[in-house]
Amino acid sequence: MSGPSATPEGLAASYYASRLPNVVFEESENEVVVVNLLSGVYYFLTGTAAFVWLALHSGMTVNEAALDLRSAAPAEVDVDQDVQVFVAKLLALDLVEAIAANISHDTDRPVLPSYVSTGYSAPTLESFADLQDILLLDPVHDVDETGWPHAKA
Amino acid sequence: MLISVIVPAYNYANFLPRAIASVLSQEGVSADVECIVVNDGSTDDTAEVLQNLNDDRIDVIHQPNNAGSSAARNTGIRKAQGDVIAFLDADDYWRPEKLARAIAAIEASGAPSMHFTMMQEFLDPSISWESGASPHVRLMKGLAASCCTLRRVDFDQVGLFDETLPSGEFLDWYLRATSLGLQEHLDPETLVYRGIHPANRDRLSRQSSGIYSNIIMRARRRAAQDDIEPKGLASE
Repeated sequence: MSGPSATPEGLAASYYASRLPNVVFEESENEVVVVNLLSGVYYFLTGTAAFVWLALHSGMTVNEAALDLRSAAPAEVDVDQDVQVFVAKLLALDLVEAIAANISHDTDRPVLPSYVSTGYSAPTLESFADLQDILLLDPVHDVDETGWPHAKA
Repeated sequence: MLISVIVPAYNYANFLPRAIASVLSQEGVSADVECIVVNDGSTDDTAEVLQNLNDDRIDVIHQPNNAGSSAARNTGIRKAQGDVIAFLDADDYWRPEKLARAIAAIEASGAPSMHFTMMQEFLDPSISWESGASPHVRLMKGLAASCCTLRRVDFDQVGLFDETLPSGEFLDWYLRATSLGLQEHLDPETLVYRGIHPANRDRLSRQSSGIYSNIIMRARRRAAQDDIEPKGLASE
């Protein structure tokens, strides 16, 4: 597994996936909700953002996802830049991590939704903290890399 | 005013007497309490513990098979006769003034509402943790079943807990309640204590954590269908 790429070129050629099990997501009707169980913040991704998220989880690189989006964007738009900025934000929010290229993927390669091809906008995400109290209640969040604390036998 | 307290119990024989005692010793309202304990197919000494509890206010229901906390709570709700409903997990307990304060708040509130309290986690004294390995304990806003008290009529508007969910059933119920406009009140006093012990992890395994995104998406879809403002703050 490689670490996050520091350069735009490195980021573009890399594979990313959600930071399981602390970050979980669900897709429905061209929309994705991403929940960070460590922070209790959740995010809604629609349009191009949902497409990029699903593309990454189908095994596409950042570059490949941007390539698909280019067909939907006006010629003057720098789609590569838009997608790289978006993925950099996902990394900064600890929602995704770099993964190995040969990892298996559960998500099918997404089809560009028709509304994206008729009205491109740069991918972005909305964040919500209104369920933080209830999402952080769950003691499962106390478990770190060393596992759940053990009671004496 | 009769208050029905629903206590789902699954293999918590060692914690259950403490929980039930805290229900029966509620100050000012203890005579108006019915405590419905649903033994959800426990395989430990829960049945024996319940048999030894001699109090007319306790109503015990034995479910032969473990069906989960949603099903157990729903069983209790169906049996409940009270005008007010409260829940208490068998490994938690209340301070003596919990119900009286909740009832006062409910009576002062005319609108459909649900009443919560602050909640303090604690390490159960019956558990010896390995040196340096005990989990953190937190004081938190208790948006949990054990902290929730509400009128029966308001509960019925929301409906029963979803028995198909392996976890996160209270989040699902809470989102349904808020989408129907139930107002949320928080008592700033710490009135509920939540036991932290190794068995928690079985109920809340990380493998089932994906259910939370599923529940939030379902709420989003319901909001879209009903054309109501989805739960959430402004985008950060």
